[in-house]
Amino acid sequence: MTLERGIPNFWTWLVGDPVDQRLFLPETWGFLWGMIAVCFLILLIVPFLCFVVASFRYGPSEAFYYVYRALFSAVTDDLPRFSFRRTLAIARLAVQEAIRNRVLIGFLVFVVLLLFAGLFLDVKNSNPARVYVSFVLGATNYLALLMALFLSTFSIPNDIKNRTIYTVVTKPIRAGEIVLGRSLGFIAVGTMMLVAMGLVSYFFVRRGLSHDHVVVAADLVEETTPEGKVRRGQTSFDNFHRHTVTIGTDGKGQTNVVNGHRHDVEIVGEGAAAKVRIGPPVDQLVARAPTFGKLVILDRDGKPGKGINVGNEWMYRGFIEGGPAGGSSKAAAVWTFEGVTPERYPDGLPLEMTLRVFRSYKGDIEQGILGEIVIRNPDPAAPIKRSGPILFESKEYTTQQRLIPRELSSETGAGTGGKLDLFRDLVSSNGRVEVEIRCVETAQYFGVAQADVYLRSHDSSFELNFAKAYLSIWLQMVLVTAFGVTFSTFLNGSVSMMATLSAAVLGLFGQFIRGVANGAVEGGGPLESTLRIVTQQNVMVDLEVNSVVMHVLKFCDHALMWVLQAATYILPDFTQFDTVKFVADGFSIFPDLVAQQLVMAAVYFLVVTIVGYFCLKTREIAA
Amino acid sequence: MSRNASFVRKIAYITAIALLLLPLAALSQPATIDPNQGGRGSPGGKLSQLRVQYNLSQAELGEIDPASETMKLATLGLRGVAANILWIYANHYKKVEDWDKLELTVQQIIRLQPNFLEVWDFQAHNLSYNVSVEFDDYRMRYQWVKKGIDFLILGTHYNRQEPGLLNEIGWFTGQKMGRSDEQKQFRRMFKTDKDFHELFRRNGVEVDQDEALGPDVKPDNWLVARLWFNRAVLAVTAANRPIRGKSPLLFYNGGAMALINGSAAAEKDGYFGERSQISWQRAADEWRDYGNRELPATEGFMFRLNELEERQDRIKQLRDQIDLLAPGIRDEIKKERTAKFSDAARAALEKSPDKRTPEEMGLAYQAEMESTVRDRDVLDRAPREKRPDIRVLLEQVENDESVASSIARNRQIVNFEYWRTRCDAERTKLALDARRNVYEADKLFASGEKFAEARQKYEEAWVAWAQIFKDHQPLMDNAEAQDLIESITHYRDLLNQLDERFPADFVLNALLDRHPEGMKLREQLKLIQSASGESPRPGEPKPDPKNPNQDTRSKPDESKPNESKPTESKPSESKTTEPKPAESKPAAAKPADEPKP
Repeated sequence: MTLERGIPNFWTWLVGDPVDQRLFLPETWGFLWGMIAVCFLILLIVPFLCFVVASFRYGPSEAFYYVYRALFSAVTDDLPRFSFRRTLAIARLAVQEAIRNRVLIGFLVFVVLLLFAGLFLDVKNSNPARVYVSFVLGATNYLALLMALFLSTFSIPNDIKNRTIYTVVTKPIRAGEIVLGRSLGFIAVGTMMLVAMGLVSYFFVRRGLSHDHVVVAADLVEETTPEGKVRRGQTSFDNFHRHTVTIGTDGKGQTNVVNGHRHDVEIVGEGAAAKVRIGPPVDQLVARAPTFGKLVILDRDGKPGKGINVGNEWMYRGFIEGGPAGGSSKAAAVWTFEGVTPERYPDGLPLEMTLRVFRSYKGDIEQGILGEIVIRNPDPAAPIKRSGPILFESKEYTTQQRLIPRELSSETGAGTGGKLDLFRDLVSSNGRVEVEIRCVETAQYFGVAQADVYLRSHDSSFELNFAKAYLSIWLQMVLVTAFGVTFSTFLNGSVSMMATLSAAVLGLFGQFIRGVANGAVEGGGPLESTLRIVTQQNVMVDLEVNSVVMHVLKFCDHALMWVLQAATYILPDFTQFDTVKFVADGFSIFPDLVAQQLVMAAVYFLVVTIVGYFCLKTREIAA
Repeated sequence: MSRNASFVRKIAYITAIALLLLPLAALSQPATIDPNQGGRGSPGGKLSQLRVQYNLSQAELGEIDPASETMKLATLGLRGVAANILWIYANHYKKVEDWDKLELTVQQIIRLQPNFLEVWDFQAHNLSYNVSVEFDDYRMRYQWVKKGIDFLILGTHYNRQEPGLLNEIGWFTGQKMGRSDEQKQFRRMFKTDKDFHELFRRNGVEVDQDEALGPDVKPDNWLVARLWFNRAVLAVTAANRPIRGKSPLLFYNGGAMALINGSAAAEKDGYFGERSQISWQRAADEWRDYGNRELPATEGFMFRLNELEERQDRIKQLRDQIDLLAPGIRDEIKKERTAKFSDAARAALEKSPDKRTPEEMGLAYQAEMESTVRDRDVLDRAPREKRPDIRVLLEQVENDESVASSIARNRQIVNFEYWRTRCDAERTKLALDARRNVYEADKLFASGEKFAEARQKYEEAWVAWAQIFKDHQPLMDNAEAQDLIESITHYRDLLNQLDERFPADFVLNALLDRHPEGMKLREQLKLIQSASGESPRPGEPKPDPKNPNQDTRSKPDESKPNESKPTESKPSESKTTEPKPAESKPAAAKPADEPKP
């Protein structure tokens, strides 16, 4: 799994990293300060706008009174008299309305999509679990958001249009209760749908990936390996793949990893009656709960750096030059792990690596490039600094598992009988340990990134991880519903739908929009790019237009992009809710990320609902 | 009343819709396949027939991919835009090395644009060539090469009888599997890849037939590739489909080249028996057939690669006839022109071409151009009464020259003469034995055993190769001959192991001098020999037969007094060589003269 942006811990995300914070870079502020700024702006701008609108109708003094009364009554009247009972009654009505509006069609569409998914899915893919999980989560996400969009944006405008809203507002009910009640009602409908979709998609994934193979015991061939005698053979070709089976003398064995999974194998029976029993797929639907370390890349002089770029356009990984230990290249990648205790890792360090390889000469292609792992003590005062090297052969694009045992060889002969104890000799007193990885072949390279090496202390439950992904989808749905209801308090149905859609799109493509605004993305702003498309001028050539037109175009684009960029800071970043890749790649969604999502969704829901309440109240004032 | 009118109007509308549906249904009725009628059913409506006629898209019900059709419909006419967006995603996934998603995205693109042939070509190449090399493990590389081929095969389902796609499958199966850095591993894996064979079998290429089996009686990638090339040719000749993206010259040589490459690869694998000889014979026959195929020239006429010699003979005969009609005129013009040459130009012409300075080369070229007598010059000076006859002959000459020039140009593009000569040479017993000896000697040398036997085999092979190159001159100039240089390097190393020197007058020196690797080897040998100050360098005077004890190394020292100082300062080096006069004799290490020392 690649983590280009990294996942900051919850507190850093909330209050920002004091080292990196910049006043004019809102993304460095931290969520808390950002939200305070947004709320402050809303508090200033929204009443002012209401005052301006009301001034045209009633004059400035009357308008001021209305605005003042709206704000004052919110605190003195509506808030203390807010009734959950009435809110739930509205929510119940919203549920009934949604069911009347045949919202279940959304679920039917989902079921139909799953029924025909076999036609669209690339079942021959080398990682089918990833395909299945991505598909169901992606489909659910889009359908849930669409459903929330349609449900939330048309309800209040239709009520106002049909005047059925009078049957509600003539009752002793407050604007806040209507807005919150509607939102809760739609969220309840969406939740039911999501639960149903989640259950269906879970069984769809399980069923889609479940498969069996057949191995004929008589076809197994006996071979002698350095580990002893084994029997080898091949499974039948099922689900577009087959495995190689290796069975030991004890009658037990396993297959090789193909399409991201393996099977346990066992021989039952004797002689001619012997049969090979193949277990279900293993390691297919997992949720690794990794402990990531902090990476430092050392260059060939042993100084910290970014690593060598071997010509890749993608700068995610830095490459370290290989060479024998003690040779001219001191290049290495060092990960520092924290919280390393014997209780947590009783058998040693369960290291997993996904390194990249770059060969500057062909070498022996039948063999992988050799590397070595050294366990280092980060404590400068420690008597023993490092273990002896543990050699490994690189394997690209697969996760290499390596258990670093508790007893390690010593490089200098130190320790007990030349042996070191991992926790006693190499883990510092505060539970930190360094893992150094080097390439030992001269002029060959390893590519590394922070998330490429981690400790897999335990696995979380796949089902729980799946549920967490659905929680992310649910939170997005909550936000879309809140935005939809709020926009629908002062816009008609179609316009509020467009507004909500725009908010979601801006939230999803915030990074891209900021890229366009600061020139990182070629092609100019909306007007320039439209002109380029129409006149068929690609993004790499200078725009061929009259200089006056060019200046007007640039000015308008700057103004538009400034507004869009500002909007991306105000609106929720929906990409933060994208957890599909975690589940699809078999990683447990980080608790910090879940906490961030929960806080973000709760704060936005609250703020947007309050704005909706004022809008509905203002609308009453205007009426 | 009004309710009745409304009802009648609705009925009228429904009837009109139903009536309009009838011709629509008749026009767009899909074709069906009826197994009871030999797989052929109804040809379908007019639209379906037109689709078949122009091979526009899937015309039969069973061929329609529901996913593709649904996606095309779901994009509401924006599938071009959707495909573009997916293309951008595909590029992004490639950039961030997310190969699974790249594969998925490519699959979606082709579902949107299944009849856009360049998409198949480009993305298949992307998978087999660009993505496969990103993997360090050759087994993974092989899987991705297969994915590209699989992708192309899928393309043939959507685009039946498409010569370009069929040809590409042949190219990938042959060239990518058989020419890449991992060719040894790829070819080995291909032979035993039953699932891949099954895929080919399901798509009409029977890999177990004799024509697809190599000398080890297992499917050979080159020979299987040939079957795909043949299918591509059949799509053009039988189904009358146009050749896309490749000139006919290159398109038609795929099958013959696959046979040649297959035969060469079998020899690299160590098969030199009768099957190998037959394989080269088949390659020769197929190359001859290719030469007899009528091909279009860019000038608009048709030609055959094999007819060059015939055309050249005819040109010669026609020129003779012109000279008969205008006797002595050609020589006369030539003499006049030569007489006008400057002294410098004449001197340049008299010099051997390899000794000319760049300036002299320019002068000589200009002089040669000026002295060339064209047939039209002869016509202008010929007696008036003979000119009509000469003009007729001249037109024939010019026509033949135009065709011959085009053939010669096209021959160069496909290296026609080299491959023809090679097919002729390789099927001889001499060549097969020479190859076998080199192969076995290489193996012996690599195993570190039986060096004497290895040396004998090498030396027998070099003699044979010298003869082969003498008999088939074009073989030596081609880059393919460089394969032999690697073995010559092994031979040098073997001699070093035996503490013997590489013969200065090595029988294949001419081959070494023609190729960069060979020249490098020669340079190294020269350096070693000059450092040890022993045997004479090629081109240097040989020892005087009358005075065999004369040290030939003294000559350069004499001619270059300035360079004699270092040798004087190192008397011990010259002394050490003196007791070994025999070693300085080139004859002592002449494998050509003494194949069995």
